[in-house]
This record gives sequence, structure tokens and C-alpha cells, in this order.
Amino acid sequence: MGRTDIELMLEFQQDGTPEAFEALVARYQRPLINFFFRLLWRKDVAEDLAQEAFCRVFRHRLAYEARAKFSTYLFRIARNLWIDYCRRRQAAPRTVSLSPRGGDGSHSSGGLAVAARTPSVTERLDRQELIGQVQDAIESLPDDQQMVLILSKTKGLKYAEIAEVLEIPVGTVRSRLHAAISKLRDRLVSHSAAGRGEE
Amino acid sequence: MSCEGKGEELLAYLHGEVTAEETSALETHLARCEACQTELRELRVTVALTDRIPEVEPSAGFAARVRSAVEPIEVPAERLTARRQEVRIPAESRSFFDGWRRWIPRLSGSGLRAAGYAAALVLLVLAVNSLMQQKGRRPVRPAPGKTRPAKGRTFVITAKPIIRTPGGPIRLVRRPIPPESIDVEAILPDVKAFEKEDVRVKLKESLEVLEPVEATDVEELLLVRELPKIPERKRYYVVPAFQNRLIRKRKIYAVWHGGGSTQTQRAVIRGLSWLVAHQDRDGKWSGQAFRKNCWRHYDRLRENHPGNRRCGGAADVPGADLRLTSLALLALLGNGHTHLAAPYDTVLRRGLDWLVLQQRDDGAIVEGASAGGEVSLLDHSLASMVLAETYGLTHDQRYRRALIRGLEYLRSIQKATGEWAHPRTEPLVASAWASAALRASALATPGISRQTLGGAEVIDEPLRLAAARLQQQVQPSGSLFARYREEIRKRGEPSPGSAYALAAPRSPRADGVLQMESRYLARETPDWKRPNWMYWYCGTVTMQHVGGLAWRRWNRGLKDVLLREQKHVLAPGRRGSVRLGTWDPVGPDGKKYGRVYSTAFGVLCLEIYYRHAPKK
Repeated sequence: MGRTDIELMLEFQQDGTPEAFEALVARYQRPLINFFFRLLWRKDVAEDLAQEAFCRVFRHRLAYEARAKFSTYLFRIARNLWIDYCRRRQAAPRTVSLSPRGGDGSHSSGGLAVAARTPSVTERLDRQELIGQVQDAIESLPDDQQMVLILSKTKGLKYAEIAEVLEIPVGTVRSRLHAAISKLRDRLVSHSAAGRGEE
Repeated sequence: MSCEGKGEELLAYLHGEVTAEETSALETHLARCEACQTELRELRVTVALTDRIPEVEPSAGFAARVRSAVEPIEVPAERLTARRQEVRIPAESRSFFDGWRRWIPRLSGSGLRAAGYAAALVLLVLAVNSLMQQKGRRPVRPAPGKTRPAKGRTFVITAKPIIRTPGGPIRLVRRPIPPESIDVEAILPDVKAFEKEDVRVKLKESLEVLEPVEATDVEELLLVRELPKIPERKRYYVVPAFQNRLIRKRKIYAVWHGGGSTQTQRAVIRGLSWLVAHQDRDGKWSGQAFRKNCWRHYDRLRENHPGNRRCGGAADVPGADLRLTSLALLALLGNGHTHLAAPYDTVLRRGLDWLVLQQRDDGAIVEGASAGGEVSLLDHSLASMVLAETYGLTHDQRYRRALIRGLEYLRSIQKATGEWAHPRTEPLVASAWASAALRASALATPGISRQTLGGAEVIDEPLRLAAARLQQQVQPSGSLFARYREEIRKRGEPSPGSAYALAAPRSPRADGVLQMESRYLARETPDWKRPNWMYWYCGTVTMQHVGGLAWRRWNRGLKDVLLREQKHVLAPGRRGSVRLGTWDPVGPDGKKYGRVYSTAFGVLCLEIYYRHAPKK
């Protein structure tokens, strides 16, 4: 399977071979599902959205032009889908998570403080808590910074490609990413340092 | 040095997104700046933290779900007809969504999809209903058998939204339902609140799938006059160079103004139907084994001629199937037949598939590709011409890949001088045929479509080189030219000048060469006493390019010979009758390759009037 994405996509576009499409699905299902997963933290909905993204690729295969990398093309579709999804969701009542990690900052810092004060908690739980903190912190970012951060966590996407996906200049990607990471640092690193200090 | 704004750069540095110069500048700065070192450390820790977010694995059935989601959904007809009995709309249900609410719950038992279909039916019924009310005239009666008038004004129609009226057929077009107006609770009473949104979206999609919606800004309905059906043949794009073959009016014009007649076109059709009848089951035409197919389409003839079941004229040389198949396919394509349209679609598809099967991995089309056959450049070029013409006539992507690979092979064996050399073939002849294939590809792909074939590299550049080289050699100053001419003619190969005509670009200089060649050809117009199929065909191509008096003379001789000598008299007792439509395989090349060869060339000669767009 030494063929590039573009070759596969062009073959699928021109010959309509389902194998080429399936190869692309196999290649991109994981990054795409994880992209949505990190925005939503719900695997089932993430898979539904990823499926819809692949369906769009299938339906609009003739619209693809070989100028762009396939990954860029796919993630642009994914991002548009995400925007649609958010719009739809706004109308519907928001689902409220009942899990311990909440949506706002006070909640999460409280959780961390608890973790720091109780040394009997096992290492594994500790790690899970930390991950929960990171998730919360990412969720609390403004939408644009969150999107840039998640795209940067998607394998194989460079700054230039992220810029192309979001249709913004590369400099903006850089600054948004820096803003996002700085905010995360303020919330995570300083807190954990404070936690350690208390200990 | 200020560290303001260094943060972004440091992050990019962590991600490996800075250039080498920037890296070295940054590292020098870092060595000196304490604050930036701290900053970098903290950024690194944060990035590492974000890396610890877990990844989820796709579910096992995800790929299968995607596959089933993109497969076209077919609505089984029996489901629609079964539903037909259930959908009744009482006359008083004026409002659209009243009707929706009333009828959907009854159908909800068999799930969402059924609800979707039923909803579409309801829509259509209502469509007709409100149409009648709007117009205030006699109800538009759907075709008989499709309606079942019931009590009051309740009636049922099928899912087909076309209604025949005295003013012509009309099509009902509906607007998509806004998803928020779908009452999910009425359809699925026990759906959970947070799932409603998804149900709504799915329902909307299933409605759209059932019946593609056309854009309209009129309220619920729009009457659209049904457009006349486009004939099957014109549905695909045909490049200008090949349009004369397909468009009836142009073809008639081309035949009449090019020197042909009804008789020549009848001869073409007779010849083609003989060729079609003698195709092997696997799609090829065989020089020797074609006779085993004689019985297939000639049952009636066999009854009349019990002693004369088979056509004679088997080839002397075995193993020319690839060449014969290509020629027969060219003859069929020449008359505008394609694998996409009746009557010879199956014949062409089988033939083309056989041809593609003969292609080796390196792109060469060789007879017995799997058995390690030797490449014949003439065969390869003829086969590539077939693929190119098919592509030009239909733009069918199925044979595009084979064409590209064939052209790439030609490019790979072209010499730097522009020639093609090949064992057992004169370089001049080899080059001529290879460039003829390139020329056919160029004609088949005007404009942008050539780019998709890798145009400039595989077509334009090799063709330019080859044409320049041929032109050098065809100059009558050298003795080379005359020597070739006679030698090649004896073997039944095209003279270089004629071959040049197959490949030549249209230019004044090329016309000069062809003028010269036409003077040579004019000395010997087609004559059954000195038969030579390849000479006749190439001569015909050349003379038609040159045009004028020389062409008229040549054409007269050609028509005389071919119309007279084609087997076309279907009289009982005559020995030739089962060979209706063929020409006897005479001449050096005719004997060698048999009746399929002579017939294919005969047809190709008579198709000359419209095979290519005439010279301006």
C-alpha cells in the first residue's frame, strides 16, 4: 500500500473504485474520530460525525481538486460539519454531563485540590484525574483556540495545513495556538505546582 | 533583546515548525535568556500534558457502517405498493401538518424508514389534493390504474410524481420539510428528549433520499413541464473531432460532401454486421478461428445454403488476434458505435475488455501478455488508438487508465531523436504508427481533458518530436524515401508518407509533404488487380487530407473497387452469399491476415468521410 492519499482519491474520483475509498476510510477513521472526540468527549456522536464526513467526501467526490492535500480537504469538511453540528445543538437543550469533571474552572481546580490532599489515591486514578483536568481546560478555551489546538494534536497536520483547513493565515494559527497553550499552562502547570507546594 | 512575542516562536520551535536560521537564532538567544528558558520549559510541560489525552479506537464496525451509508439506497417497489393501500387522505385535512400528524403514527410500527417512505407518499397525495383545490378546476386525473377513487374525495396515488394532463406531463416537485417542523413525538411517542434531534435529522435525510428535491421558491408545489427525454446517445460528451460520427445531421452532410453516398454507408453497415457476427465469445476477433462463429448469425443463410456454412478466408499467419481485434474495433468506433449505446454495446465492451486484458504491467499491449509475447509496435499503437477513440467518444473512465498506461509505454520506448525503433519493424513505420496513436489521443482529448491524461508529457511532446523526425525523413531529397516506399509496399505496410499523414499535425509544411505523397499515390489508384489493403487505407487517409482533384479521383477508384467487390448479393445458389458484407482477403497482407483484416480495412476506408472532422 505505497499509494498516496491523492492517488487513492483521484482513483476513487475518476474510476469510482470503492476499494480506494475504503482505503482512505481505513487510513483516516482514527484521526477523524479522535478529532471529533476531543471536541465532544462522546465517542458515539464522534463516530456519527466522522461517518457523515466520509459520506460527504463520497457524495462530493467530484468537487475534490488535487491542489490540496487530502487530509486538509477531509478536515475542512470535518470542521464545517462541526460548525453545523454546533448550530443544530444550540437550538436543542444542551446536554449536561453528570460526571465529576465539570465545565467551569472553579469545579476543576476544586477536583485537583482534592486529589492533592488525599495521598491514598492510586497512581492510576491520579493520572485519570489529570487527564480530566486537561480535558476541562481544553473545553474551557474559546472555540477558535480550541479548534487550532485539537487540529495541532491531529497526526500529520502542520501549521500550514491547519491554516488551510481553517482558511486563516499561518501567523494566526501560531498566535492562536500559543494563546491556547498559554491558557492551558496558566490553568494546569501553575495549579499543579501549587498542589505540589501544598504537599 | 526583548523577549516580547518570543512565546509564539518558542512554541513553533517545540513543534518543529521553524526554519534552520530561525532555530539557530533562537538557540543563541535561549543560551543567554533566563526568562525564555523558563518559558520554553513550561511550554514543553504543557504540550506534553496535552499529549496525554487518550485516543479512542474506532469501533469495530465503523468502516462497514460508512460503507453501508454511502451505498445507494433503493426503495423496493413492493414496499411502496404495499403502503399504497394504507395512505388515505380525507378531504377535510387542509393543512399539511395535520395530515402528517394524523397518518404517521399508524405507520410508525415498522420503524423510521417506513415512516420516511410513507411521509413522502403523504406529501405527494397532499400535493395533488391541494393542487386541485388551488386550481379550482376538474381534478387532474393520474394515469388509469394508478388511482383508486374511494369514498368522498379520498384517493391514492403511487410514488411517481408525474401526472399526465391534456397539456402534457407535469412533474410535482416538493420542497424539503424544515426539520424543526417535523413532529417527532407524534411519530415515535416514546423517544427520549435528547434523541429527538437525531431522529429529526435522520427523518429529513430519508425523505430527501427517497426523492431528490429540486430548488424552488414557490410555496409547497411547483409545476414543471416534463422535459423531452434526451436520446441515449447524446448523454455523454463527445469531442469535436469525433462528432461527425455520432451526430446524424453532420454525418449525412459529411458523407455527401466528402464524396460518399448511400451505397458506401450501406456497405459500411453490412461490413460491420459481418464483423460483429464473427467476434469470439471472449471479445476478440481471430484470424483463423472466426469461422467457428459463422453459424451464429447466419442460421437462415445456412438453411438456404446447406453446403456453404462457413466463410472462407482464414489467415495464413496465426496469432494476429490483437491486430485484427483492434482493426475491427476501430471500424466499429469509426461508425460512431460505442460501448455505451445500442446496438453494439456488448460487442464493443467485450472487445475493449479483451484488449485491456492484453496489457502488460509496463503498459505495453501485447498478444498473450501473460505468456510473455513479444511487443509489436503496430499492434500496440492500433490498440492505443482504439482506447483513445473510445475515450474521446464516451469519456468513460474505465478505459482511461489503460490508455494512460499505453501512452506512457510509448513514451518510455521513444528514442531521443523522436523515433521508435523496434526489431522486425522499420523505424519509420514503427514511428509512424506510434505517432498515429498519439495523434488519435490528442484528438480525443482537446483542452483541459488532456491535462488529466498527463497531456504535455505523454502526448504533446513525444508527438512533436516524432512529427519533426518523420518530416525530416519524408523529404523526397534522400534516396532513403524511394527505397522504403517500394520495399514496404511489397510487404503490405504503409509508405512513410502515408504514415506521416496518419500522424501529421495540420500545418503548411505538413501539407507540402502530403502534396508530394499524393502525387506518388495518384499514379496508382485502388485497383482490385493489385490489391493492398494497407496501401489503400493509408492512401485514402492521405488523399483525403490533401483533398482536391487528386482525392476525387482516388475516391472514385476506391468506391468502384470496394462497392463492386464487397459480397453483398444475397441470391440463393451463389457461393459468396454467407460472406455478405465482406471483402475477399486478397493481396499480400490480405492473405496473411485473412477475411477479418480485409473487411475491417474495407470498412475503415469507407468510413473516411466522417471518421475525423474534415480539414478546414
